[in-house]
Amino acid sequence: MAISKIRLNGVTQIDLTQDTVTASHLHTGYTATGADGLPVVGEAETGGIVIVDTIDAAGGTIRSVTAANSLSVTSKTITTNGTYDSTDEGYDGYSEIVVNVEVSEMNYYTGSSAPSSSLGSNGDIYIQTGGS
Amino acid sequence: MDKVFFKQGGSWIEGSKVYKKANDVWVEESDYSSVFNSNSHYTHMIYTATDLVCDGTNYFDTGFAPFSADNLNKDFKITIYVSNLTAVSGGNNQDVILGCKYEGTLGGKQYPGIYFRRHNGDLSRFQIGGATYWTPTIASVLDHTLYIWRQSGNWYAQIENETVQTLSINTTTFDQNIVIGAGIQTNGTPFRYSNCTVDFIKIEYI
Repeated sequence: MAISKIRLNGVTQIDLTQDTVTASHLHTGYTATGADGLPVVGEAETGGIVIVDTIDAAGGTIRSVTAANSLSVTSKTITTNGTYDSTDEGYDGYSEIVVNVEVSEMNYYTGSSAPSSSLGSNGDIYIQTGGS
Repeated sequence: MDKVFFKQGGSWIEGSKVYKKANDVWVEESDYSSVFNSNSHYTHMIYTATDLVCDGTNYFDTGFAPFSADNLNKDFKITIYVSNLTAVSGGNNQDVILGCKYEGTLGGKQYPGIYFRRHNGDLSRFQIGGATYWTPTIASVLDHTLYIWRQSGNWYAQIENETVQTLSINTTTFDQNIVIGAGIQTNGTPFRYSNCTVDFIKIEYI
């Protein structure tokens, strides 16, 4: 049975119950004892590349995040032009944020009369000037 | 009522109607906000085509006259990719790949307009008017993307990412469309046909 707290003659000698270490917070190759008294084997790595694929409401897609000292990644709002609020909580420790915004290529045509049927492709736009 | 404007030649021009093509049919739209997608990049396209086969007897009319009074001061760019260029049998090695030229003297200018054509053996020629030209090898032009553009009255040409060639303008106003695969004489008769494939071409306002 795992033991996480030891009291002797009414005095606490050892108390692990408030410890917060978990496998994901402990560097790989190291061990500790968790709040439940059970062994914790480290799984965290540093310096890796975390791939995130979150599409936000504005259409931005975070493709990759290179984290120097942190693996803590949370969803953030990226605008369509690829900017982000660097003061927003959660960016600490990032050395690089790469954002690829998917932009479709569309054509538009102009002319003084209605477009001919052979002009353009589906999805194209035609702006007529003048005429009726 | 929504309004739509586009900028051309430095001025904003108001559109009277907006159409969107769906299922190969142009449909007039009234709700402009639903027509344009904020996540799209829109190119003001003049002409685009793929896989045009010029067989030495035919040509393709783009419908765009860059030297007409309406268009003379508009900036535009041609992007073209040509392959399989071979001399037309019985030709004079001046086979026109793309051109818009007045075949004579007009407004005191000799041969105003542009040509992109073969120029004897291994050379091609991008020509402005009668005496201004750039002569890259055919090998350097074929199977590469070639850019030709007019901006603020000057002409430029570039093969992919290589050095931009600047050529001074030598033109006057005339109504001749850009034609692919041949030149057009002043009487409207095509000549100097070419044998080539235009894998891709687009002409856009810039």
